[in-house]
Order: sequence, then structure tokens, then C-alpha cells
Amino acid sequence: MALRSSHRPLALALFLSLAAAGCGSGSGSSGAGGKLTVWLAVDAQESWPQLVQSTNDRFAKAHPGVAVDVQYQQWTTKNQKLDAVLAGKNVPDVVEMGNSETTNYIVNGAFATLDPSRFDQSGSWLPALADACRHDGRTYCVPYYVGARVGVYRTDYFTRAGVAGPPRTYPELMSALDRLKGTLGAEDPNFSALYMPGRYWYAAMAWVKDAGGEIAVQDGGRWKGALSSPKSVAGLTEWKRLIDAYYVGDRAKDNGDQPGVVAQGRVGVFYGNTWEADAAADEHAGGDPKLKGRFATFPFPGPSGKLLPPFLGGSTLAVPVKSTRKDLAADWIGMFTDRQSQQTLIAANTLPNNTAQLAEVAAGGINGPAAQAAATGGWMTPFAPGWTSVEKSNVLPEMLERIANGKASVQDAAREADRRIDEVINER
Amino acid sequence: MRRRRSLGHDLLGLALAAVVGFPVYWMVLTAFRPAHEILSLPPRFWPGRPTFDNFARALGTETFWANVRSSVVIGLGTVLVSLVVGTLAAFALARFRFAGRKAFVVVILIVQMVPLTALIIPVYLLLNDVGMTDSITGVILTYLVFTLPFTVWMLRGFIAGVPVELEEAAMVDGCGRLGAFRRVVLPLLAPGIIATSVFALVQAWNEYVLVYVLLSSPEKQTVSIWLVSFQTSFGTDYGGLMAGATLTALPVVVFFLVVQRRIASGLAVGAVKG
Amino acid sequence: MSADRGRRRRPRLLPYLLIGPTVLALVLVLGYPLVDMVVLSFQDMTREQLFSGSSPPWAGLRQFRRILGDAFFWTVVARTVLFTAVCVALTVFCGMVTALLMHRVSPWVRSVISGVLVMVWAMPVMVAGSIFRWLFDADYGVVNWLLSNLPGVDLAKHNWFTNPWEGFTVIVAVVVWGSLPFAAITLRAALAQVPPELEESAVLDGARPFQVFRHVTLPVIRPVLLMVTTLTAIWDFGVFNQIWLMRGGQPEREYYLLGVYSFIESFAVNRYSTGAAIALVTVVLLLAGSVVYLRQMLRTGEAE
Repeated sequence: MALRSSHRPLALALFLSLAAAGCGSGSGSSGAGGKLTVWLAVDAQESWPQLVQSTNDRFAKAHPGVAVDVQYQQWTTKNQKLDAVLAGKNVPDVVEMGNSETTNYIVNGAFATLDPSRFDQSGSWLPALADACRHDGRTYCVPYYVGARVGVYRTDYFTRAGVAGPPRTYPELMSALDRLKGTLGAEDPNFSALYMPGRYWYAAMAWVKDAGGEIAVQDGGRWKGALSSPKSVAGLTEWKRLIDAYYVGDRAKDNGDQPGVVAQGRVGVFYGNTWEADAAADEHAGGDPKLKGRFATFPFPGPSGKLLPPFLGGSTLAVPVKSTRKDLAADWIGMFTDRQSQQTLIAANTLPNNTAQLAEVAAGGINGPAAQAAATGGWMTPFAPGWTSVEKSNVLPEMLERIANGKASVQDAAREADRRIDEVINER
Repeated sequence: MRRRRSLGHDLLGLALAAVVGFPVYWMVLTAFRPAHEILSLPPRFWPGRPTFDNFARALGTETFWANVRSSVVIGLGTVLVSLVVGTLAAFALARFRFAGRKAFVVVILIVQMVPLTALIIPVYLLLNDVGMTDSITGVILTYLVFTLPFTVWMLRGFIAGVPVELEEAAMVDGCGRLGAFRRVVLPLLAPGIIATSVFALVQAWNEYVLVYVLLSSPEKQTVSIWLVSFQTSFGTDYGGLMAGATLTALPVVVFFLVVQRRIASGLAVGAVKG
Repeated sequence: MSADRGRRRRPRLLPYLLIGPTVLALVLVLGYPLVDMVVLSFQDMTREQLFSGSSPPWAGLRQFRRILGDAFFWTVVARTVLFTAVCVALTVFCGMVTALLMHRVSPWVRSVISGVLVMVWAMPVMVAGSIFRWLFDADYGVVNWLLSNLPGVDLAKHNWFTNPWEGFTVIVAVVVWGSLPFAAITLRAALAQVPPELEESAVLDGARPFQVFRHVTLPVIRPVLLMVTTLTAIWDFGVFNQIWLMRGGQPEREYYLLGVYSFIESFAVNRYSTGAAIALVTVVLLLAGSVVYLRQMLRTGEAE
């Protein structure tokens, strides 16, 4: 970094003399030989390994002699490693990035521009993903997949509480929750009709959006926090009311271990991704295999009368600007995200990267409600340069915890959060 | 001392072991539990129906044995090199007066004060420039600088605790400095060396921030990185994590037992002969 | 002054040869990164420069002025100092008690204790963090459940981290628990160096246990005791993992200590230079704190 050009050679010469005495078996991760290095998040390894395999097979046919080395990264630690690696000279050729992470890397020049016309269905890419990839009219990454949150409920509990079926409107949802609370909640003081931990900001912000509020707005090229606007406050107030009425667990928690908690059997309804319903019955995720088949999903209605706008969290694929095989990288991404590959993703219960195929997700399947919610609307975190800083300094969870625990009024907590957002959201 | 041993002390000792060991017990207990019993309320302190599923799942990871091998190489490499190199420096510090000694002491101390997290990127860039990223040797070298200052510091204290007169008596008896060191100082250092080597091993064995950044090939990664992978984006597989952690901790415990027996007995014999 | 007496056979070069490998390793691997960190704290580095490799602009003392002028920074410093003091006192005290106890129990009990200590030592911090988080969980925690069984105590659903004082009590417990094996095993190793005859003769002379400890045992284990104290202080001052893990990777500002603060500035907010400056100030504060000890050690070091 600092000594890049001046003092480092000396240290290096010394170091090399030592390394030579040992066994310097270091090898570059890209550039050397015919190798393409791809960083994917672990989701691909866990949920659609067949897609990775088929893409690599197709790629091998098109580019014989180029080996593809797919390395899987954990979401929690990926970017720390990426930062170090991008500063060095051997970078991966393809990197998976969450759609709330891309903006900061793009404005800081980490990724190469891509020609969207090279990619299948680029005309119908989901805005939530495509907007995350665009900056100043250029495209820097390719949409990969998306997820949308829905309501998940225990079918057996609904039957026991005498609720006929999944709620279609907000009042129906409230009456279902009341019934759950009245029957199961009466037997077990630890039963929550609705699981809504206090730091679950993806959920709380959905209520803000539903009320017409925003996390932050752009004003003359600069971003500023908008959580203390009257509409946002109204959304937060309704969210707090739900916690008070239907949630009995610890309010200082987040949704990190949601499937595991739900698997304990003390939750009637929760707001989450479709796969969390599966995870709650899967021991790999801390779930209980005995609960298989007892969860069903529904499009979560919002107080406004429309569907509660879900956060559209998803992934994109980018090519680092330092990659020496940008063309091959783009080819690989192209195969990994084309129509045929997206079909494989849909089969693995994931939502595709484009509106055309979103319509092909079976409405009756477990992912149908999510597809419906994603198609009718949804929201993204602000595409501001400093958004990742806002996220990582935990402004939203801390505000929500203060509200949920009654440490501060909604108005005060929101104003404090806006102040902290304003501090970092415009920083690169 | 023998006279003061009593039932009271024994009971106190057992109570202490129980309190301190409880989290360890909880880890092992969880490792044998089916997933849905793990968060049960009220808590159960005994496995209802112990299961080996968690271990099977943990061992089923493709790269597990490669990762164990990598951890062993890195762990033992770090321990051996830092012990040998560190003992030399510690001896110099404890027994000699030389120009630059104070500066050396201060540097050894300062080096330990620097937060590791501040060095991740610079260390990566350095190794990257010499082509030693994704290299086990690179990792050992890096760990060395974190265990060495500690080793020197620790052993210096223990060498200082050995009366110089003993060593001089041996030298008068015709042993050279090296002989005196081997026959007199080393045996008395045994407990210190055990503690230090366990420390160095634990450091190298359990570190996961640096090694994750430095290594990229899945088969070269260490068991500590493997452990992190139980926290998937779907939630944490606590049963698998605890089973993995139990498996990971075992070698360290075995290492301690072996080292304690070997060094303690071997060197004690040497001391009698000397 | 034994060092002078033994001089006749000692080549002048020997000490340098002995420390040579250590110095070489430190300079090669740590030299550049350390200098880099210091230089970085006087610059203003952004991600753009990190990724492109272009030289960041010089910022002089701006980073330091920004940190040192911030009241929050000083709150964090005070909190870190207090935290370190409590942790070190508890660690050394508990470690000493454990070591002394191990000296006085039957061999099999001693084996049990050292077995437990090594298992605790061998437990990865990450796993220890998960377990303690769990033990203190508001909904499913064993601790709440156990304490609620006491008459008059109801801690059902009590969250230990809502109030930072309680939260730090738990974190102190985790840290002390984690460093107990190191302190106890090291101190026990030092106690093994005390010649039993010395203690026995002192007892025969009618000394009380405490007097034996103070006048016979303590002088022998002093170097090791001081070392354990310093090292524990250094580690606790820079504590990061335990807080990070106990707060689920999202520590609230009430839980910032210097190590966490520096990390957040570098890797969350991407102010690498500010992060480096905080790390540097941390080192300076630690040095200032250990000046007394350093001076004493350098002086006694010469006498050895």
C-alpha cells in the first residue's frame, strides 16, 4: 500500500532470500497457465452444485485447455479477503457480490465494465439486480439470482387454532395471529404467534416501505437518511405494535438463527426467505427434520392493502478490473447466467435474474408467493457509495433494538439513526 | 508441600474443574445431540438419545482430512521453529548483556501490542509480492512472527528463574556452555517449554482470520476455516459445529499429554544423569 | 553480576548469533507491514487507492487530530482501560489460585484440573463465543434457567446485553475463562521451579503460609508472574474476537473497545487510515501503560 514503490523492494529481496531457502510453493491464483478462478458464495455449493458443474462442462467444451477453479467463500468473511486480494496482483477472475455490496466497489474502480448485450436476457434483468450493477450508464456486473421474503406458517398450528388457510389481507393476518396467540399462546408463555426479533431490519424496513417511507433519499446528488420522515415513522410504529402484540422472545436478537429458533416449535408465523422454511426442517441449518412438510408459504400482506414490499436480496457476478482473463471470465458468467442455467436455478427453488422467467415460477410451488412478491414490487437498499458502511456499522439494527426495547421513542431513535446515516452514506 | 494436601483441597479442585470445564462439557454434549434438542427449554444436562449424526456430518466434508493435514503441518511447523529459534533468543536475553539488548526487549514487547487486524492487508500484500500466498510456508512464516515474541518473552522468564550458579557449577565441572545449557537449564525449563509450545500450537491451530485471507485452495485450508463453514447462510449447524470443534480440540489435548510426558520424563532423566 | 564473571569464555558475537534468527524473522515478515501501518496512519487512504495501488494523499496529523478530538474515542479508551484492568486482575488472581491449588491436591485431581484447563485452552475462540452466547441466551440460555431456580430470582427472558455493564460482565467472564489456562499452567510451571526444600525449611522455621508465599515463593516466580501480567494486559487491551462473537458480529457502540473500533473503522467504514491511526494510538497507550514495568524490567534484566 503505502510503500508500494519505494522501500518495499529491499524488504522483498531479504524476504526472497529466506523464502528460497525454504520451499516457496506459492502459486498465482490467476494469470498463470490456463486457469480461470471463480469466487462464488457457499450458496452455490450448498443448493445448486449441479449448475456450477454443468457450466464448467459447457465452458470446457467452448474453451478446451482452460481449467476453471471455483472457490467458495463465506458471506461473513468474503469481503475482508476480497479487499486484501484486490489490492494484490493475483485476483480472481469472477467474483460473486451481493446486490447491496456492489455500489461501493464500482465507484472505487474495482470492477471492469461489461457489455450487457453479451448476456442472455439482459433486457429483462430484474431492476433490483440490474440497478445495483449500473453506474453512470455503464454496467459492471451481471445479475445472478434474487430472493424475496414471504410469510411462512406452521400448517398444523393453523389447523389447531382454527385458521382456515393462509391470510390474504392484513386484517386476515391479524385475526390469524390473534387466534394463534389465543390458543397456542395460552398453553405456552414462550409461544410467539409472529416471530419478529427486534434487530430484524429487513423485516422492519418492509413496513417502512409499505407506509411509503424510505431508508435514505437522494437530494441533489447527495444521500441523506429519511427514517425520521412521518411516513417512515408510521411504518416503524406499526412494526413496533406487532412486536408488542405477537412476539414474546428476546427483542435484542436478529434473524440470524431464525430457522433454528422456528424449529423449536414455539413460532406460528415468521417472515423470511422461502428456503428458511426448508432450513427449519433441515438439520444442516439447525432445524428439526421431523417438521418436514409442516411449513407453507404465503405472500405477506401489508397494512397498505398491497403486498408487503419485500427486500429483494440477491447476487451478481463481477469481473475485477485487474483480472487478466476478462473475456474468458465474461464468457463463463454468460453461461452461468443464461436462460438454460436460470432454469436450473428455478428448479433449485431460487428466483431467476429476469422478469421473463420470474413468470415461469410455478405459482402453486413453495416459491410461488416469493415470485409473486418479487414481480409486484420490492425494494433495495440505497445504491449509495457509503451504503455498506451504514450496514456494517449496524445503524439500522441498533435503532430498531432501541425502539423494540422501548429505550427510545420511534421518533428519537429514527432521528439518531438518520444522523448516523448522514455521516457515512456519501463516503466512498 | 505434601503434608498440606487434604480432602478439602481436592474437593475445591474438583469444584473448580467443574465450573471451568462446564462450557467444554456443553460443547461435547451438544456434539452428541440431535439438532432439535440443542435449543431445548428447560435445558437438559444429559444427552437423551446420543447420536453420532453430527460427527458423521462433520467428517463427511470433502476436504476434512486434507484440512487436518494442513493444520498439522502448519501447527507443528510453527511450534518447532518458534521453540528452537525462540529459546536461543530467550537465552541471550536472560544470560547476556549486550549492546542493543534493551532495544530488542522493547521491540519484542511492542510487536505483541500491534492489533493483528491492522496487519491483515499489509501482510497479504507482502506475501503476494513474493508469491507466497496460498502457500503453507508463507502461513508458517507469518504465524512465526506472532508466536516468536511470545516464546522469547515466556522462555526468558523461565531461564531467568534458573539460578545462574547451577549453570556455572556445571561449566566448572567441565561442561561447555552448550553442555551446561543442555544438562542444567533445559531440564528446569521443561514446564516452561510445555506451556509455551501448547500456546504456540493453540495459536496456530485456532487462528482463522489471517489464514483465511492467505490461503485460497480448499485443500490447503486449515480446520479452523473448516469450522467457520458450519455457519452457513441458512443458519448455524450447531450440532455439526460442536462435533467439529470437539474433533478439532482433540489433537491439541493429545499434543499436550504427549509433550508433557515426553519432555517432563525425558528431561528429568537427563537432569539426574547430568 | 554473573554476566561479568562468566565473560572470559564468552565470544562477543554469541548473543547476536542467538537473537539473529528471531530478529531476521521479525524484520522480514513484520518489518514492512508495521512500517506500512505507521505510514498509512499519516495518509488518507480510500478503497480506490487500495484497489488501484496509487499512492494515497498525505494527511499529516489529520487522522490523529480527528480521533483525539473525538469525545467518543476517549470514552472507548477509558472503557478499554477499565476492561483491561478488571480482566488482568481477575485472570492473574484466578490463575494464581488455580496454580497454588494444583500444587496442593492429589495427583489425580491435578490431572483432572490440567485436563480441563487444556481442553479450555484448545477450544477455538469462535466456538467458545458460540457456547457462551448460548449459555447466556435470553430465551434458551442455561444461565438464566439456573439462576431462576434460586429463590427470589427471576431471570427468565433476561437479556444480558441490553445493559452494557451486564454485557461486559459476561464478556469479562469469557475473556478471563479463556485466558485462565494460560495463566494457571504458566504459573504452575513457575511454581515447579521453586525448590521444595526452601519452602519446607521456611515452614519448619515457623513461617505462616502467606509469609512463605511472599518471601520464598514469590521472589522465584516473580519474572514469570510479571510476564503473565504484561502479556495478559497486552492481549486484553486489544481484545477483539470475544466481543465480535458475543455480539454476533454487530457490536453496538456501547461495546466498542479499541480493537473493535479500529477494525470497524478499517473494514466496515473503509477508513483504513483512521483504523491504522487507532491501532497506532493503541500501541502508544499500551507502551505508556507499561513504561513503569519496562523500566523495572530493563533494570532487573541487567542484574540477571
